[in-house]
Amino acid sequence: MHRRTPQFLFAAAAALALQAISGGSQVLAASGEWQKTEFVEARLVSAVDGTGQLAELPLGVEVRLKDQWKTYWRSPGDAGLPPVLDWTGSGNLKSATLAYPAPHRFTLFNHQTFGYKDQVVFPIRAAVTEPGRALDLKAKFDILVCEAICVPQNLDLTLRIPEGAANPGVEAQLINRFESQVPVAGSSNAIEIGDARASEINGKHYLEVTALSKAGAFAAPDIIAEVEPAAAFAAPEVSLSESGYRATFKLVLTSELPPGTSLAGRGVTLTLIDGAHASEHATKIVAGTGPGLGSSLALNAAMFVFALLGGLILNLMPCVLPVLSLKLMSLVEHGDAPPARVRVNFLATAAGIVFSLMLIAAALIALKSAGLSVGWGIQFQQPVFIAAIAVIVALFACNMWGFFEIILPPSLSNFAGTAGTGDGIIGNFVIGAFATLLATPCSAPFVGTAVGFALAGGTAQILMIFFALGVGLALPYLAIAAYPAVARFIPRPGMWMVRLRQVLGLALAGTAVWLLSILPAQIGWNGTLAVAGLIGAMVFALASDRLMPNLPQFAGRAAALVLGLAALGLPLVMKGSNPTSAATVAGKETGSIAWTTFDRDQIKSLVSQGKTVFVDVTADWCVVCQSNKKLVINTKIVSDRIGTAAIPMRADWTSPDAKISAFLATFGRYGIPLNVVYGPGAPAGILLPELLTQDAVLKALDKASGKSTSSALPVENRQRDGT
Amino acid sequence: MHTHFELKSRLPRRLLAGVATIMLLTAALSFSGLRDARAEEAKPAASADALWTATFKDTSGTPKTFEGLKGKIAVVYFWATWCEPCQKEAPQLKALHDKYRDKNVEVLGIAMDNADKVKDFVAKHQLTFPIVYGGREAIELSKNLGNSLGGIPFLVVIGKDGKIVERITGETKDGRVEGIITPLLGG
Repeated sequence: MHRRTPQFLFAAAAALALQAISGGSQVLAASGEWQKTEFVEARLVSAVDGTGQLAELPLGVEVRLKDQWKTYWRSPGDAGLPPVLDWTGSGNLKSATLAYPAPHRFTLFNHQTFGYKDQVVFPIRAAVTEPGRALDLKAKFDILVCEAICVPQNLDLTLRIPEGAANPGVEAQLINRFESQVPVAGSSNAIEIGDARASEINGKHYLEVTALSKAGAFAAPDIIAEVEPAAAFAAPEVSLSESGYRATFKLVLTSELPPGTSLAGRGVTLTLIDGAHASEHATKIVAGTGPGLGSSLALNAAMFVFALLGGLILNLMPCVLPVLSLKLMSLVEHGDAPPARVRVNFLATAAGIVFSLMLIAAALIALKSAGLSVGWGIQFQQPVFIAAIAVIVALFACNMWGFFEIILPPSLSNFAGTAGTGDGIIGNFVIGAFATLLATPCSAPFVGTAVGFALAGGTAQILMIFFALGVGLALPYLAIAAYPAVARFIPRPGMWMVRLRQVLGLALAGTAVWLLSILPAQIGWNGTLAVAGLIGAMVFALASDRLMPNLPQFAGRAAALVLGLAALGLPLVMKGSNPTSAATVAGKETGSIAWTTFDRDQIKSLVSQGKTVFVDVTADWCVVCQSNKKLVINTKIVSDRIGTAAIPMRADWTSPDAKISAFLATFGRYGIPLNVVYGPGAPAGILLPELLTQDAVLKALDKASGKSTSSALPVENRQRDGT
Repeated sequence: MHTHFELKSRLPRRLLAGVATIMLLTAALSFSGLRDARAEEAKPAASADALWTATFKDTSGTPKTFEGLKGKIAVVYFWATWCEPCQKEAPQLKALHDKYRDKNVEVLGIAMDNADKVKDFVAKHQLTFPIVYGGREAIELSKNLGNSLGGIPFLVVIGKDGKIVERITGETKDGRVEGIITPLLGG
């Protein structure tokens, strides 16, 4: 006994030390032992230290390769073998699904293989049989590693994840970093992969695929085609559109096909990799007319028709309808005009439409050549432009209401006529250009598709699509030019025309109000109300002839001129003073949100003060996060709302951070993107979907701030900790 | 004094010569012995016995044994369709086989693969030398023939006496195998 006492004390001390060590480094439970050979080492890793109540655990198998050695993807290509994990002997494991980060293409002796060098983590989703119980993993890991020789390696990997809280381990970030490299399926990500078309030319089989990038121009895109049954292709020929937003891949088949058969009808999984972006699309190969030319013609023709239809439908949109009304009005007023004159007038308007759209196309081409982002209606991001159009539309309304007539010198009016009455070639041409100008902020069915196609394409596509839009928009005018006799069916001028003019004037006034409604986002409400007041005063000054007949006519006109110019000039002054207006650069990421560093402890106190907090957990390597930023968070509407209505907090998980990992875990997440909105209306936080939408963010901000009672958010809220 | 001096001086001279001779002989013997030992160390399992007892199927599913290779110069090539370096060497082996098939030289391919893949590969590259396939047992055989890493490509040249003449792990430079078998043809 005397001898045992010191031994017992020593053992107890050792146990305490071990306890202390294990307490301080629970992370050890999140990774198995390294199993090493001469060329490779591997281990199982877990994003959690305990199984918690999770039905599915985020795990991974980490592989580190000796310099210059490589291992393979799920479809290794012309050589190689995919990694295989056999989980026989594992305890409490229901199933395990392995994911494959986007591979690199290796070309050796004209053979194409796909795989990894240096380090890779294959993320694993492990479903447990009994949640809450420990998970004992035993895996026979067969992995082929190659350099100048290929050596199949068989490693026995083990990992035990004990019962207990599913706290995030230090490997959570590592697993998620590689998980973010797994190609995303579906069309909701940054890269959209089109159909795969098969063709045969001179006995060679081709596969052609077109892809569009929604998050900036392609850098160096590559595509891998996994065909069923297996077929091999040479490295693709890649051609990028001028803008770089569209990529066309042409792959030539290098394996044999049974005689008389083709690739058409076979299933194919296309994996497109461009830098950090990777996208996956499973589809059936369709028969094409050739490697590029024929199918591109078909696509161009379809887009031409889309643009034509879109242009036609634009006439019915609220922004353009008043212009058509103006023209119809002129037709009514000149119902007895000779058909030839009606024809010339309407042709002039149609020409004005087409010409101005071609001018816009030329401007877009120039902007694109200068490397600037372009879009449909970018000029409507300029407050001065909006104010100017609002003033012009208001003047048209005044003209309709009879507050003033535009009177030109007789010599000029013979040729030019007036815009309001629609006489003369220039006047009608200007009306057409005005219709185009008003059409640009509007969209209509087909317009977005066609314009998107044009802007993603080259000069020829832009000119073609904008020409088609112009012809579509001009179709009603062209129709009347073709059948001027229509004018004869219109009733004779009378009181009904005065009423119609009043109604059309109201429609134009409505257009002006709508235009002004765009302004607050750019120059704030005060500036907008000031501009609206000035325009209102301008209308009043023009109406002064009627309202105050004793007043000299020139006084009212002069006042209207001053007020109109003031309405134009005001946004210039307001623009400089408004901090958010810097975010209105055409089509670019605004990035104007003044982010604060993530501080979980602060959220609760901020919410108790009645504030709304928008939390964005992101990382440089997280591709979905970058897409979310580009497509949702940094868009004007969302960034303005976040900047003004919430306290934006950003947590950067580019490097491992235990606090961020712990925050993620409170939502049952071990990966990013993660966006949460807290506020008086949602103190526990509203978890947003991984693929953000503007609607989801705005609704969540409303709900969290207590403005909305909507509970129809398409999100799940699995928070376990009320922060 | 003189005689005494002569006696004294002669004895050590003879003794020195004798000792020097013995030392030289010993050194020479030890050096040659050492060199042999090193050669032995570099070439374990000098005999190809493991091959004579092995059985593998050919691509038509027929089991094959290799005792027929005894008394011939054999070039045994371990490869696989998934092995990138092997893809380059297969045509070289075909050329070697075509050139020496009538000179008592046999080329045998042992693929660590499945039959379908091997069939496709053989058809694609129009390989004419005999090829069999196997899984882990093929890897084990290569190890028994001295492939300590278990990697491929691995090539063994066996002399007519059944002894392993050369082992090459990894890429085989074009012409190297020819350089090895040419001196063996006459003997």
